[in-house]
Amino acid sequence: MNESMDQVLADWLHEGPESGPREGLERSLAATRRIGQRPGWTLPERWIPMELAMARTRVQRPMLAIVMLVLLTAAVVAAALFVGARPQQPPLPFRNGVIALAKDGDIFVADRPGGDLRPLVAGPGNDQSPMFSPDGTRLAFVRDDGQGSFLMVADADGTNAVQIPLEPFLDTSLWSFAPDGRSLMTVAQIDGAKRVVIRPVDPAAALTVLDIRLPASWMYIEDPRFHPTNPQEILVVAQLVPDGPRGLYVYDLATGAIRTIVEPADGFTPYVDDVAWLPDGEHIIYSLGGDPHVVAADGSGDQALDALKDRISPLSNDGTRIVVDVGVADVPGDDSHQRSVVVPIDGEGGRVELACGLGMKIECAWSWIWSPDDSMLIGTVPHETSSTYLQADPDTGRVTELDWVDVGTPAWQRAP
Amino acid sequence: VTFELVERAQRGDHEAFDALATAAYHRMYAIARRILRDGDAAEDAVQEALVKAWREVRGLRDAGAFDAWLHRLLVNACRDHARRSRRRPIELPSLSIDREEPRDDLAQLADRDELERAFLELSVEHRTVLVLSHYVGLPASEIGQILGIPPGTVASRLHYGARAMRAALGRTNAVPATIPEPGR
Repeated sequence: MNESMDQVLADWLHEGPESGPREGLERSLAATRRIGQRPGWTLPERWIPMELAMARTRVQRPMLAIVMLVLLTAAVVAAALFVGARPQQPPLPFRNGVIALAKDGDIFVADRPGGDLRPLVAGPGNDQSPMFSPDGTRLAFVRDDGQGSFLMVADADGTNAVQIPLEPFLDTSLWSFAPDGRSLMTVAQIDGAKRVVIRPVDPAAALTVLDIRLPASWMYIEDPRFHPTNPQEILVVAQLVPDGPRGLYVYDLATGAIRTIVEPADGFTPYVDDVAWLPDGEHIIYSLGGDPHVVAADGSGDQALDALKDRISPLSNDGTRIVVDVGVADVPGDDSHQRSVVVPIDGEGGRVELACGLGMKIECAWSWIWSPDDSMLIGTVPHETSSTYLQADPDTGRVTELDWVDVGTPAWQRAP
Repeated sequence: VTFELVERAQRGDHEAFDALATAAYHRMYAIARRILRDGDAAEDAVQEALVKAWREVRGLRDAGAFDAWLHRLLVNACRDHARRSRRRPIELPSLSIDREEPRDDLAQLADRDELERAFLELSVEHRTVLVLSHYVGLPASEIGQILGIPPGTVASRLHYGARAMRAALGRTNAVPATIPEPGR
């Protein structure tokens, strides 16, 4: 059957045009002539060995060290005065734990951005894509043994790793953790219908299949989301009536009750996607036809949030800020003409521009993650042959380059 | 020749880059056209990839890897384009996945419209793997190199992509593997 399908696919894919329009080529070449090349000095790995480019040379200069010490002391005093003068932020519920990274087929942890890597999981096969559970007690990662990829879940210290049966999961990336890390949720096709499925990490425990009608097409399926603190509630995009609207609902796992959050009018139905709880569990963000909104968890007070367009980070852990890209590329594909800015999600208050991007020495990251205490950001800058990493201060906009290279997408643990 | 052209392009020689782009253009268009299923979108994606290639070519350490690198830029551009397009409220005719088993063999069943609809229901990541394998003819190792994913993941995407196509075409109710990336 697979061979037959493969042949049908191959034949069908070979139909159609083998060449593009001549004017398309001319337009493309003209577009490349309108921009310059990225300067060579921004690519140190191009002209000196990577090890040297990334290493920080220590130079013994006593006088310089003394001057630096004096300057550092002055800076610390000034910073203390500045911080003391600022209004106190409300305490956050999270403390920073370790940062998990994937390098050379194993999982490592570091205590701080750019810090030394300590091995955490060094099993057979290629381990990658670490992710901590919301409570920081479990670590999931993807293991590739050369025959295929499968999902592993371990305690946060790397011990007690178990392999999660892939069925009925569809892919090793399309799932989410329960708040306590004891189960995983995904969407599977069972008996011809899409279903929300919850699989306990314990391989001996039974699956739970939820009785809620999802859209028939995979195109409209969104990952369901556990409530950040109440494991009995999930947020799900569903289509309760055949051919009816695709809306956003909260499903109560204990009672099966469904609460409507957003239900667009039938007929012309734009996408509901990018759904997420705010960390307080009292609000929900989502996009409707690409326009971001926030709404109370009871469905009231829906409002559009233009500030969240072009976001390139998840919400901060206190649910108040996000990193977005601003600026418009005047040449398609030239993504240098943009700036990353930390903005309050309601659009009110100050914006903090990160010191990277157009006109800056440091190229901006394509994506950012927040530290659990919201005091730092780690950004990933993918190049074609490697990835590099940045640390940013969301309060001042200061950006520094980290010594990490090719460590995948970092995952920052909330200290249990 | 390609090696020399790449090195010249890295030194800022636009004519050398033009030669590289001209040689690659139609193949890039054909690949993008098959991933995105739209001529205009394919043209945009190829242009985005070529602009980025010109801008970033100095960062390519191995000139011999130019072709694989260009493929990677192209599939990234296709992915970005597909995600931007997803923001537009479009509606595809829904497919019944529980219809009766067809009686003839698959080749007779699979008319082009149904294949088109079924293919468009796959995520762009799965479409890309299917095109690179079944159209370009690359092995899993090379596809993995282009996409930056392990060969095992390529194999599972091929496997589940084919299963999803079969499911959408009504051959079976087997589990398809593709949910469009939710823009995480």
